[in-house]
Amino acid sequence: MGFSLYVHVPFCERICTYCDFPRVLHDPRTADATLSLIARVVRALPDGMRERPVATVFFGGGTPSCVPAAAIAAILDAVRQSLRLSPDAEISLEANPEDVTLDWIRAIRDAGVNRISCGVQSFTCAGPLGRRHTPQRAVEAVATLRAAGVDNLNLDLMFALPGQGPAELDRDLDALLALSPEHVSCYGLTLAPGTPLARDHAAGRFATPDDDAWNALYARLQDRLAAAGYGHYEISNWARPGYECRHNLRIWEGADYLGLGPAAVTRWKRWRWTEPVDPEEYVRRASGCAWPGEGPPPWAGQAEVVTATGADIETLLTGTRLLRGFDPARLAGRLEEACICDLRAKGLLWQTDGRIGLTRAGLPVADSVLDCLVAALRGPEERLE
Amino acid sequence: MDQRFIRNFSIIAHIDHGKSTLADRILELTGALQQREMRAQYLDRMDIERERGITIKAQSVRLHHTYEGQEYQLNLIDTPGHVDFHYEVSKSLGACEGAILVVDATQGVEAQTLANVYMALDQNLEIVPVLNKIDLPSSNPEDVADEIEDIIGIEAQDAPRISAKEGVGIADVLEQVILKVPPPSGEPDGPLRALVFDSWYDTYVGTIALVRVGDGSVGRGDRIRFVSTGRAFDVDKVGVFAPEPVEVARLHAGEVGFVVAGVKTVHDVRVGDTITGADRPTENPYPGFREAKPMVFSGLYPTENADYDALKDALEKLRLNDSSFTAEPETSLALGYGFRCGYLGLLHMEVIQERLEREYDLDLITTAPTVTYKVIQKDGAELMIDNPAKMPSANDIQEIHEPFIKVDIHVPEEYIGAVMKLALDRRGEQVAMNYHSHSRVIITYRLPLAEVIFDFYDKLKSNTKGYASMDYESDGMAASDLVKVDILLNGDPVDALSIVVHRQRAYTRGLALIQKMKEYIDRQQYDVAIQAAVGTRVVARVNVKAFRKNVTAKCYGGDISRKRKLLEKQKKGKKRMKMVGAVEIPQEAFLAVLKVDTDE
Repeated sequence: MGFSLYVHVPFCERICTYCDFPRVLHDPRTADATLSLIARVVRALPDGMRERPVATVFFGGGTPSCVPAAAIAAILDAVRQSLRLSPDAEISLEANPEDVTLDWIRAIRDAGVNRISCGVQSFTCAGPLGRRHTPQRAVEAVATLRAAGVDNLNLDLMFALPGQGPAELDRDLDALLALSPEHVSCYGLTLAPGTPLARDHAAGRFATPDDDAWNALYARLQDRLAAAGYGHYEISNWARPGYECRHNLRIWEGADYLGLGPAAVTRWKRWRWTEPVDPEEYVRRASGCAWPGEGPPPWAGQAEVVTATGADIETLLTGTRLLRGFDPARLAGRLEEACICDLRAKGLLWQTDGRIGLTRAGLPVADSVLDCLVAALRGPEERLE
Repeated sequence: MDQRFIRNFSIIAHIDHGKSTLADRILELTGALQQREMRAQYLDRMDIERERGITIKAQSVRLHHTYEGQEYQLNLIDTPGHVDFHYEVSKSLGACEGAILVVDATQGVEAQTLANVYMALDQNLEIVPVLNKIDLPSSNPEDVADEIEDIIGIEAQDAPRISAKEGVGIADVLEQVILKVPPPSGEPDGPLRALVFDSWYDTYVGTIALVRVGDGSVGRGDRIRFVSTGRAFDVDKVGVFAPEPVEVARLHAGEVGFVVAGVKTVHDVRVGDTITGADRPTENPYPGFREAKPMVFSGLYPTENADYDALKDALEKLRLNDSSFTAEPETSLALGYGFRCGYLGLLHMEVIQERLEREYDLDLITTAPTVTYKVIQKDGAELMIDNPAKMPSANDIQEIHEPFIKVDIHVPEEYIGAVMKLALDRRGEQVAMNYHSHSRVIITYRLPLAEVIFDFYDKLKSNTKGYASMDYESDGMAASDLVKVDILLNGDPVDALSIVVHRQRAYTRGLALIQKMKEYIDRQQYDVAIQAAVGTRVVARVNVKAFRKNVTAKCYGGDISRKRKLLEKQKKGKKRMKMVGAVEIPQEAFLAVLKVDTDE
């Protein structure tokens, strides 16, 4: 069984007002130390972790486009030389529109990246979100990417933005669809506690759509993207047929993934671990430190062995996000039938022979449905009966 | 030991006046414990006692102390201080000839000081007053000594001035005990007569009886008989706590210790019973203690129905150690099979629940505490109702009687107004008001017990900046204009949530209760209507709106671990939820009535 590789590049030129991801302001020296360390870690992975083929690679952030392409290339070289990178591996990289130049994208493509995810967020409302690019810059970036031959492109959009109504959403969607990306990720704005945006919201500086308005926007999104030929395959993701993100699909389907770089999370068999969040701490702790065997490296920030119930919870929490649902056989009768019946009766869940998933009515309340399913999960002590 | 050199005494005090600290110091001074073995509140063995700083179970400890060249055997019997545990105090006092009365020299005489002193005087104990906390700058031992003389009427000018915390004056206390407390005066060679003043169950040896030997002696191999049950047993072991248990050959007249006699159930060892020789019985058994009657009742249900048997076992075991607590099976439509339990008071209830959860690892739903009502039906029948759900239909009721209590509240005079307002809000009727010094007052109220069990004491404390103290005793039953308020979830009454309140408060209490419940009930997939109804008339309603939107936008690698941990935690918490119909109700919601501020 292959695994997926995730590389976290936590550096940004500017911090967006809504962002609560692990990220720091870009400092070239720290970035260089971090990325060259990641390449060294790849070359010195324990044997047990080098034997399995690498099915996909994903550079996320932060902003992987703000560091030199050569640093990305060096990591991919290490992957190719030390690991078994599948010949047809999907290799994605997240980019900010303002970083995209023809030279850069050529270098990135030469390094082996074959899928670009571009964070547009909004064509109409980028300023309040703290994005640096203008709507025009996003359009130019896409043109540049296309000119360099990028044929697997995702555009990120946000909705339920301050003051957004159906008309404003339509304008964003019109602009997006005009660029004809292969893949669309569309996220409802989340006011994460502690972010400047959440503080401004709490202070009453702007209002976001209420639940009913949110539902109307989400429904409109689903309808318009379907009409434009995009298949809805995850709560926040749509793609032209065959262009679903293989990396994320694998993760949602329960495959192992190795996370490298500050704050990256790994799921490796029953282990879960997180690398030190702070880049300088990551460099300090992981430099020159050997990774002796399969399992968490000695410098891991947090490591745990997931319980059987914990693994079931992961199955449910990722499985319910996929429009094609999950295979209940993975839970082998540990899910109380009565709960599924109840949720089906409420019209929130569908079930066929081999799959269970959320209905269109279930999607906006996915977390509530998930709470019910998790509560209906029998623990190991109850499984003996 | 020669009885002349034995002293049996306990320590009585108002809560927080330093009883357990003084006991610790006495243990240290007499060498029963080395400093390094010492932990605070040594005699409070239960975790819950030490965490809460309270004593629940009585303990006895044998100490040796040399005074003027003579060795004395001192038996210290530690007693609980909280008003709920009066019963334990009276049991322990019966085994003593004297009591050290600890009075906080910064606070003076408080309600429980008096209550405990009266109980000790009832048992003809010699009182040895001690003024504690003299290390505090705000202490005023001279005035407090006067107060003790004025209010209690016992000589206090020569009372030792001590600081239990600093270890000052402890030897003086022991000197006073030796000089003032009379030695036991039983017949060393008479027929065995021993008073059981506590008992508990031990998994290995069975029931252990804590006894005070009046006449004769008892030792291993003796055949003994419990007077009230008539059952005879062979003694396996006798011993003393010093403070760890130590086996001894015999317990003689005047001594205090434990007796193990292969008794399998605690119900054969009734506190207050007399142990005598099977072959040579005493002709003068002890009169026995008054049974403590539970005052407060609540339902106890396992969160998981499958835990019913485990709960039943646990309750039986707890009952072995706590004869003042009752448990009868009952069923609730909403909660399934459980028990109606009776407690001495609210603290007792909390302690029982905490012990069940902690020592027996049970997840429980506790319903709101209630008192016992006497219902006189139109057909003349009388019912005793300790569960509001069992209240007959209003049409059949002629009259409802509720228990009243007489409450003595001690308070500095500047808080008289605050106390009066609180008591009036709780349907209190002032019976008396007496100044017991130029600035301190005892106000006596007659109050419905139901109005006191929830938050009266907390309110009293907060409205008087902590200065008020109270003590209460039962004062019979009387008719009141009471109604049952039902709580409906989505139109269905939930029997376990019904409460009984005064008719004039049905609306305000009902509304306050459902508003509080709203805070506890999570938004679910459908709107939940919570209503309060008297009979068929809905008097108040609130809605818990369903989530129309509840979805995480992004869920990639790191998010999965974070979210999984959250759900794992939540799943553990879910155990304390109860599905009633289609609504999930957390444990807290069943006790929401306790959190309602009834004075708003």
